[in-house]
Amino acid sequence: MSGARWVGVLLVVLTGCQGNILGGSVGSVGDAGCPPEGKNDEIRLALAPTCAGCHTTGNKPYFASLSAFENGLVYDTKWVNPSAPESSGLLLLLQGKASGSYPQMPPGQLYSGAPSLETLTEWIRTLPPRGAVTDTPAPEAFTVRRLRAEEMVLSLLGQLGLSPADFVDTSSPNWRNQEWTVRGGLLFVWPTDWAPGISGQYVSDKRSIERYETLGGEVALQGRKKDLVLGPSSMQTLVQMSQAWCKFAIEKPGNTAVLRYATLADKSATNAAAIQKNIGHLWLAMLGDVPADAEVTELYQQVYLPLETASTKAAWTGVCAALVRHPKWLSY
Amino acid sequence: MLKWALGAGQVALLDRFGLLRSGTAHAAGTDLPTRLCVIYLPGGFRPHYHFWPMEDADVDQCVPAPGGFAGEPIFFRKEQLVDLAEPNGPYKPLRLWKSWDETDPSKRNGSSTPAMYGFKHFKLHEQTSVLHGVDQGTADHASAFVSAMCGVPSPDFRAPALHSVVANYLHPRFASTRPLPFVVVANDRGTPVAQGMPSHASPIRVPSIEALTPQMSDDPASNPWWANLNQRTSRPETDAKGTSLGSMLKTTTLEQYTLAQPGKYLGHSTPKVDAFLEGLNGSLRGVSRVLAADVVSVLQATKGTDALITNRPAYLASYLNTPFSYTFGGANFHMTNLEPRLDMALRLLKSDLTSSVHVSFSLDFDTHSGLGHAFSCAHGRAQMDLVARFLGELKQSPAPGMPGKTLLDDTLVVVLSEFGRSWASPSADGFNLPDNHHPFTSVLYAGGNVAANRQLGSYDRRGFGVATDLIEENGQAGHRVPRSADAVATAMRIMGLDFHEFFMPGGYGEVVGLRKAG
Repeated sequence: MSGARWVGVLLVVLTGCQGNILGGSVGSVGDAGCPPEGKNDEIRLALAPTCAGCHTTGNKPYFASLSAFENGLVYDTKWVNPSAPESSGLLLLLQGKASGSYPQMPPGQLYSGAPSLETLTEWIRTLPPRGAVTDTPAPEAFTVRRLRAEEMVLSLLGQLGLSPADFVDTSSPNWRNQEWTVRGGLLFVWPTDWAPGISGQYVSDKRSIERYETLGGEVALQGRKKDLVLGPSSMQTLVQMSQAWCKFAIEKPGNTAVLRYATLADKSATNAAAIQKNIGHLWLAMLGDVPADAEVTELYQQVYLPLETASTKAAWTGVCAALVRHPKWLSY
Repeated sequence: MLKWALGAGQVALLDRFGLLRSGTAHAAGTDLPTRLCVIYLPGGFRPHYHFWPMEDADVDQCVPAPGGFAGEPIFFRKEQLVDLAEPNGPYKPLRLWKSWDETDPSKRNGSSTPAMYGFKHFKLHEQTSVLHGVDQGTADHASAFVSAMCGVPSPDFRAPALHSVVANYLHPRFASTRPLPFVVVANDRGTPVAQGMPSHASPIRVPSIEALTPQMSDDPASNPWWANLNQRTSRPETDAKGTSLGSMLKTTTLEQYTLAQPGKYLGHSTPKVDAFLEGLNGSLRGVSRVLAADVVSVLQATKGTDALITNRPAYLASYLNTPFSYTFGGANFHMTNLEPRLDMALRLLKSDLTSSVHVSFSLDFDTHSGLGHAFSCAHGRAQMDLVARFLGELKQSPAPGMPGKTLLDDTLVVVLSEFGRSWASPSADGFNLPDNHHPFTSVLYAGGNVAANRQLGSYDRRGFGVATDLIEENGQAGHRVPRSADAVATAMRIMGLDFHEFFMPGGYGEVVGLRKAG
């Protein structure tokens, strides 16, 4: 699923230049060792040490990227006005002469960085035309983010051949809005805002919706946002969830989502080929790309074989859970 | 989009201040606390009904006439104000409405309530001071919550939360003994986040004692999905690059494989992607550490609430036997649902598993009602008495591994809300009682390295903050209305951090007089 995209993006990135602002003077090498992409980028990189600390996130993230800088600041005449450079809002701010709540940027101190005000004035006077700017992110811009909690839940259900009906009684079409009981001993994780708790009805296992939030899910009705990072709380939940759900999927009668080319009866001593073929199948199904032979071998030797000595069920649970915790599965 | 959410420039700036790395080891100051506990009261409270920072003559202009709410006395007159103890230096002492009956503080009737008596009972003035008139910079709940937690008003975190900075700062000293550096017990209205810091500074949610086992145990008897998968071997701990961290980590076969995967993709993409991969490796190591430490058994074996039960204060005689509850009127209202949260927070602090704890109360003060002031006064004072009991429990408990010190000596407890609520003002026929969001609030500091019995800052009669003395981050003296950044910075200074060891966009200072040595 996410793996093919990951590889594709990696290839793009390896040939492109987009990334960290390192600062420096006008004309210096900037983003991740790449030269500035034109005059606007030179100015962005030169101003970054002064401005990027506060203006990379939030509601004025002008320094998050060249695209953000150009679309949000450079081609807004409120800030940069080629027809009257000296009265441009950017220059007034740097000189402490702007109107409004923040007359001075950076706050509390006079601007003394590079580039000089004279350089900035000349840049504004000869501002490049907007032709190259688009309203959408640059295609070469690399983005990677963690899977959101709801994506984790739904992806894993699908990949493992599971459904909510495996955990709770869904025979009623209105089951989401009625009280439900999680079948004994199962580790259910379910989006908080999809749970009957929001209608004030009984929830048998509050842990299932707590887990969803610890996985990084939002609780919109209570104003709690989704977690944007893959911190220890999310991983704590995912580690348990990956093993519990993988084991459950392997034990589910007739479920071939995990064991398509091998069975629990197959052992490495007698049918290693089937086991490795099934590992390749799982890799493709869960990470979205065809694994190299070395990748299958590594997973087989480092996870499957050591665990097979205890049981094949443990070995397949381990293989499956290892793929859930893989960087390619966790990112998008 | 990640590029809008994770700022490379900001990351660079954080790195400049060392916040992406673990803090350098510091000599353990004997008076410096090594634990932080933030108690958050949601919805915006009215702290001047708890502690009175202004002139006594202002009471008639800002506090409605005494009355009742759900059988509970509310509001007060200046003649009812008392100091908790003699002033500590040239600062106003903790001063509050003596709502209790001195002959029997447990008495509950239309004119007496034990609320707030806990501060006297436990002699908490010895380790408590309050900062008033703090400008949160916004009157929006979500932005003000962020402002309270990290010092920067914004819809999203633009600086790491106080808890995370402290957890990261203490990590080098306690990496091997505190597997849960930063725990969030309850997160009403939001979770403090570590914005750009290492994974060990990110919050781990422990919502309840019931959630512990399925979340943090690798015992197959409880969690059958660990059958044959929980055999651990002690191995040298390495980061994503494979660099030795000088410590040992007990991992399973499966964990060892997964720990090695993020490092394979390092250096192929942007620094942001590398940071993601390093964070993933760090989070996975943290999970292994928690599982290997068997924190579930430790927490289950630790008594959270103890002294309040074995040595139950007499002034609680009119409440339920549970120590963190209170009752209004003729037993027609019992506040009981804070018990598990505060018990869990106490377990975490007493078990010595964590450096930083966030716990929110459940009652929301966002009433927007004509009864809002009455609600804020009655419930606010009762809830602050729960805070006093929590502090009292810490004061009666030994600090683990620190002979001669109480747990309160070794903990900084910060009590706050996201903002205040609009103030009452006299009208022709009584009082105007608006009940909207109000961007000025107060912060209570208690515990180790906190100056005794002081109130800093204050309000004018409209509830706006007034100037107080600060030391700005550049070392210069300042005199201005404190902001949330100053409240957060002061907490970090109390914990022992120098100005150069943390950073908040927009600047900050330390309020003079709150730190014991300040």
